[in-house]
Amino acid sequence: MVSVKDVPFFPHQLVRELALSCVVLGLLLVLAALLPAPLGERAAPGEVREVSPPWYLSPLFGFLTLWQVIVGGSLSIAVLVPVLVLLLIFLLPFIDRREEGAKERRMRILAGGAFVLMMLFLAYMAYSADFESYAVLLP
Amino acid sequence: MSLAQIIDWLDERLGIRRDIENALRRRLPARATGAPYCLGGIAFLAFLVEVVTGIALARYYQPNGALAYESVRLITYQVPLGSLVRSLHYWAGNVMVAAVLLHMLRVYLAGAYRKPRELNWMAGVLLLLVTLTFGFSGYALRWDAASYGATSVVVLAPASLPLAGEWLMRVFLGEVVITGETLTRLYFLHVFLLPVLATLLMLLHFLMVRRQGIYGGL
Repeated sequence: MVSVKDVPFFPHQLVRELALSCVVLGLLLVLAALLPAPLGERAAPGEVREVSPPWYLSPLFGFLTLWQVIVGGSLSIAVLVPVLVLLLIFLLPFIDRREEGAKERRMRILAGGAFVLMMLFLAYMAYSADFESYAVLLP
Repeated sequence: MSLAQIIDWLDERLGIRRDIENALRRRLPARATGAPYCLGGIAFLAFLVEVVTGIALARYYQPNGALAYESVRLITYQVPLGSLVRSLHYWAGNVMVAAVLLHMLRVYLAGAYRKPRELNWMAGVLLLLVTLTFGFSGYALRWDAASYGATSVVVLAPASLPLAGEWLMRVFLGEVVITGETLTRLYFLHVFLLPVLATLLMLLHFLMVRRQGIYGGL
């Protein structure tokens, strides 16, 4: 008997997942047909003319440019900070070991929201940065 | 030969009938079938699209500083369906990164990373790293002015690390100036090392979900 609380994988969930897969594949085809992948000018090795990071790396680039403005100089710390943040995320289950409760859930929403906002801000910094912000990084 | 006969033939040799039946009969908590729970699956689907379109692209792409850009042009403007396949690879890659990030946010907000799922969270963070490196190395392979600039920053910034930075860079990527040699090494990452790592980590990731069930479920 099927209860309201749970559903069988076959056929119920399998059919749903196949349907969703078709929708996603269809959307990908539409995107690919309407907005082809970009291709700019040929790269000239040893000579950087523009810096435009893929969107998922833009917070990292934003942080690098911000670091140049605020601290300047020591680049290695600017590289170490994201590494440390990633390490903290990796070890999160061992850092946050409290029992689950309403307060914990609220805290997570706040912390998660703050983190996402921070990433968006850093991404914005990357997009508004001019080419010179990266000059220090380049040979 | 009917399907039942084929299954009988396999079952007689491998004894898989019960495993398949159990897998199909498995029940899922109804609340774990909603939209936010699809994100990991969408990332996996996008990965499969990347594998198929990537194999097609690899037939024409030249992982060599002198030829890379021209080969991408060839794929885009001359190979039949080349532009579509390349654009699919591009979009599925972007969708994969987005789905992984949102999936991670979902798991975080649910608090599902805590005991007993610590190891699966860690496998997930490694998969995030693999996904981002996939994206970045793929972006570099395009070898146009924009991707060359971004590649230079990503590759040169770690070279500024004290002691090991420059050494690491020479070992993994070639010279301290980004050259065609760097491109060849990023290509190796993109089509060999990362696919192997991703496959192993995904296998672990899925087996652990299977073993532990979905958080907050039954």
